[in-house]
Amino acid sequence: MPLTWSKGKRPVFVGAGQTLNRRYSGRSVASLANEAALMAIADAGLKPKDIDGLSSWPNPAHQVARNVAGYDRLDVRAMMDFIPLENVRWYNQNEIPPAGSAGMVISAALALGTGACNYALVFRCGHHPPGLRYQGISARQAPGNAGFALTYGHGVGGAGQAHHFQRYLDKFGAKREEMYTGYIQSANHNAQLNDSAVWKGRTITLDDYMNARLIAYPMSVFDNDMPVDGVKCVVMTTEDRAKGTPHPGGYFAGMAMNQWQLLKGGIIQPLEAIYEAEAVMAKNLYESGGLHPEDVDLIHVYDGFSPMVWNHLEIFGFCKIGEAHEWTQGGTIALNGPHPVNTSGGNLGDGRVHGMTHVYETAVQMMGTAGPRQLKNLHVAICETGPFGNGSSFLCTKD
Amino acid sequence: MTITKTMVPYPIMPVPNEQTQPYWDGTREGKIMIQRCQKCGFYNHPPLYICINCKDRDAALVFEQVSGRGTIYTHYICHDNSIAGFENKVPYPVVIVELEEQKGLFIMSNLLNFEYDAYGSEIKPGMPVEPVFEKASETITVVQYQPATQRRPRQAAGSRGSRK
Repeated sequence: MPLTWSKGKRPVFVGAGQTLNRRYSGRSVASLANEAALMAIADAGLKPKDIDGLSSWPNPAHQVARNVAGYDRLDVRAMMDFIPLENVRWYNQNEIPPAGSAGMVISAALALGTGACNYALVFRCGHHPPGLRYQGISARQAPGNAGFALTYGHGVGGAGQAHHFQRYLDKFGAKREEMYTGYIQSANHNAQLNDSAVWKGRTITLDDYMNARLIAYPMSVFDNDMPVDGVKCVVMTTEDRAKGTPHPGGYFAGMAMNQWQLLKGGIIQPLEAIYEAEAVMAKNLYESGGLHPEDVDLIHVYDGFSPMVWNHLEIFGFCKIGEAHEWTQGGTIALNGPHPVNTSGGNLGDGRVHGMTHVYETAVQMMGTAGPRQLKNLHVAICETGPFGNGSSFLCTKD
Repeated sequence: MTITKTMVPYPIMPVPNEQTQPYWDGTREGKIMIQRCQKCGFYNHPPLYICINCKDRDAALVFEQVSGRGTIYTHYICHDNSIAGFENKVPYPVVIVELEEQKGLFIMSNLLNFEYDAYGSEIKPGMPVEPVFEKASETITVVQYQPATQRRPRQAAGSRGSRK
């Protein structure tokens, strides 16, 4: 069923703001949030007093978190305090990481559409404390179900995706070097046009990629996004209110969530089961928007781990299952190619702000404020965030 | 090329809870015990509170011994040393073994007594494997896998769905 909105109540992006992603910035999340949120609000031509809705995913970005608001956690209360925001009527604090950053946009869109709020600020932080091994595990015990996995030394960053990638390579006869020419190269190129990107100023060659430090083969350090300090925000409102703002763009046109019930539990989710579950999400997404893969001219898919790009290009119907490793070759997904993907460099190129990278870039591209990366004649964008098997997604349109 | 002959000593020791205790009681006796729904026959591993297959709220969920025989579904080679205690074990393979009892019934393991390179190129999906029981402590025995040394009994044609 297509989404329906009252006249003038279609949600739309009107502002975006971000700090530049940096490793060990030395700044608190509170400081970063204050900068990014005020930038986003000003970009929308608004004042903090106008913001009356908040949508967040507050969980700290790393496993060794202190979980302290303002230090490594950015929740609704903290954002209200830091700006301050004095007129908030509605908020959503999404504690389910799998729903991811697109989930925040979906919640905000629904709140805007019903009038629960008029101007929503959507935000997410990345934070990597100095002196701590980012995904370090120091446990000596594996309680309960962890005993079936952690006991075997399973749990380094990307380990949960490495076996999927290996399965993909084996099943579809893909080659690891195809990941370089079929995604890493274009993400690296796009990152050069993005001041926030951790990969800016760093050219990654095929040799670099093939000889990179291995994390969990077939995944290397370049297949895992880099932990950073950074905050990204977008501001959304409704079509009628957006008319008075500087550059509205990206009308919310469809949404879908992950289908947990199709995953049969277990030690791991097999590649095949995730494809089946995500195929339902893709079907729901296109049906809710009355749109098709052929309509989409800007693709944002989660790339916290590189193989997910191929997985999602197949699942969302841009190529056939098992063919993304070939389809992505030869510039298909380049910034100037026919199907640009993750135009800011994605989480790999920009840094680990958990899909908020994709939300932010979708918004600025559709608003026409993407600067040197700006694409022309965009009509329909897809934005999927959250790891393979755990995501949420939305569509937005130019008109 | 590397061969991992044992993962002992285990840097991270499993701590059974009420749900997982029967599994660990089994491994101590050299058996793999997996929770099975008495209504529909589906195996659930890790154990659950309601069968994920039939969802019958009254169905008994009872641990039953499985053959332990299986094949490799997929794998990776861990090179990163961010798990304390595993630094001197890298690179080590992590394999996902699919048990012959049920499509998609997986056990995680390392792969012992098999020569592998940094990329695990020789570890192929479908490779038959068999369990090895490693005593990790007085109370904990860990299931590991190695290449099958015995031929698997022939299965009746069509007894098991092929993976698409």
